[in-house]
Amino acid sequence: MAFVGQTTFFHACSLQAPTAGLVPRFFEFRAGGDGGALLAGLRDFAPHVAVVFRPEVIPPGLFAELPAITLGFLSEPLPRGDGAHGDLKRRLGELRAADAGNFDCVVSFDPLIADTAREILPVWRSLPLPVADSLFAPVTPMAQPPCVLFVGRSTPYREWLLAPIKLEHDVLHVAFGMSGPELVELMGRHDVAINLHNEGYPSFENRVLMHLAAGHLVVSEELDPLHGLEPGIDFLQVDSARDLRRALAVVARFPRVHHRVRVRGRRKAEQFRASRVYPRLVADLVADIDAFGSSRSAP
Amino acid sequence: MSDPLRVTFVGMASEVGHAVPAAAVDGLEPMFVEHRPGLPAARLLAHIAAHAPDVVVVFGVGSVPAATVRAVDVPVVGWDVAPDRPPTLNHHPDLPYASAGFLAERAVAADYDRVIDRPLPVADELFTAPRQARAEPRALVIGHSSPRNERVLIDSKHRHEVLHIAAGLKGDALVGALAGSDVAINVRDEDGPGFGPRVGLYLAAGLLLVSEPLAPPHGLVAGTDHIEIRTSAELVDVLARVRADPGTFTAMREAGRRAAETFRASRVYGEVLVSAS
Repeated sequence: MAFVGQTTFFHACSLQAPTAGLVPRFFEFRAGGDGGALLAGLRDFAPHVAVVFRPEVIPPGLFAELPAITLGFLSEPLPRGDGAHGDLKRRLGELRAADAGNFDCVVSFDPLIADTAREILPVWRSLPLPVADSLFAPVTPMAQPPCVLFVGRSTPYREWLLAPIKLEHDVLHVAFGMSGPELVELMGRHDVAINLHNEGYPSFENRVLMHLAAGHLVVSEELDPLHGLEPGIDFLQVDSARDLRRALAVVARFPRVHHRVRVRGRRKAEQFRASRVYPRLVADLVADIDAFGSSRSAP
Repeated sequence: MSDPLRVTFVGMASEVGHAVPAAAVDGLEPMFVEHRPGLPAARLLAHIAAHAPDVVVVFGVGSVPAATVRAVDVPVVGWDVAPDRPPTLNHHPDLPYASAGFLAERAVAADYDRVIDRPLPVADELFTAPRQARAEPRALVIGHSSPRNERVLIDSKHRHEVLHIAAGLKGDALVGALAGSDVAINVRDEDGPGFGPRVGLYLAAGLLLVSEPLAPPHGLVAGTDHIEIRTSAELVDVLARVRADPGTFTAMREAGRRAAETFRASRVYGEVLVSAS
């Protein structure tokens, strides 16, 4: 089973060790990358299934003759109707570069973008990006003061929300570029994780599940969709900079106050464990193509 | 042999901690007090009193109230360093910087015995020998994002291995990030000349410095001890060259490391603080 994507973002969403008959390998590929080299690597590995994160970055026609089942995984938010945020329109513009002929099936991380995506890439299923098994860790006692982490690029929207807490607490903000064992080690050194949307539009960021898996107390803006998570049960929901500030002040003063939320969140994360999700997803995918075939030229 | 100079340094560790040695070194006995704007002055003064310093250094002239500076009975030196946050946040209603009370009470240059305007020194323990670049070199950026610096960085982030830590990096995590990188990128937040708060740190850590023009250069020479870039495309190209041949800039890394000696904390503080004490 091949996984294709930019390591920084997607290695943490892949299967990283043989599981249930699936033998994974990750292939680094990013927008503007060498498609020929990718194709050669895949042919050499000869996977039965290739999962491609951000299918829109694959050059048109590249997988048309690849002798494997190809699954595109939409990972970026898209407009959900009229009046969308400019950032979402930009992402939709990027998605238009996708070649539907490269993929047998497409999964979206968010069911609410399926209608928008359909005109470019028909969506077969929706599920959040899974979490690599390596990121799962037990809930440990919280440090005093708690170590707070935000992983995500800077945007004016996010910085506006983060500014007060960056001043009042030790918040490590990793804006870009951490993955693999370094990311696992980073996760292990922190107790509280913040999740903020890119801009002022709703979404469900995959970092939420990564942090829950790591046993963090997740403090997040409203998630939409929730993918089964429960605010106040599995994570703390905040609706403003002031809310966020208050939540962290409480945790800093009473580190155990939300211990149960961490435990519940960690348990809920099991639903998204890569070794649990991918075998079922691949089995469904193979069965679906066996039953209904594919419009791709040479699956 | 004279007594060591006891210096209490005041600031935020994630912004200026790399400028303060963790232990006594070469006649300097340092102590760092973590202080953030808005924290009680009494706490800060208690820490200073407990250390009984010969000199106090406050990083960020306006980061403490004038009354606090005046309440210290030893010389207080202000080190002129800009806070590491986007300027667009200066009017954030939840930040003390925006409150009329904070602005009215904060110290200005005239409240200090002396104000120093030169690059941040680098703690002696952060100096390391340049290493052989890895086969897959990684570039490091430390500091907040701004629309301008992201315009310069974005293509490189998507084509090369770039780690960007926007805030909160200090202590062992800082050492680890430096040790795990081969190249450091220094880009300005806004248009206009500048030097950058971590230029000395990057060179001291033995990294290959790739920087927009340094103005003033503080003794550094583009093309000799660091690589100068002016555009996003130039940065992409430099990182591609490093990736293609990781050893190609070894001499420049070594020259940069030698140039970093001018920023060595024990040397800088020895020069500028002895006369202030």
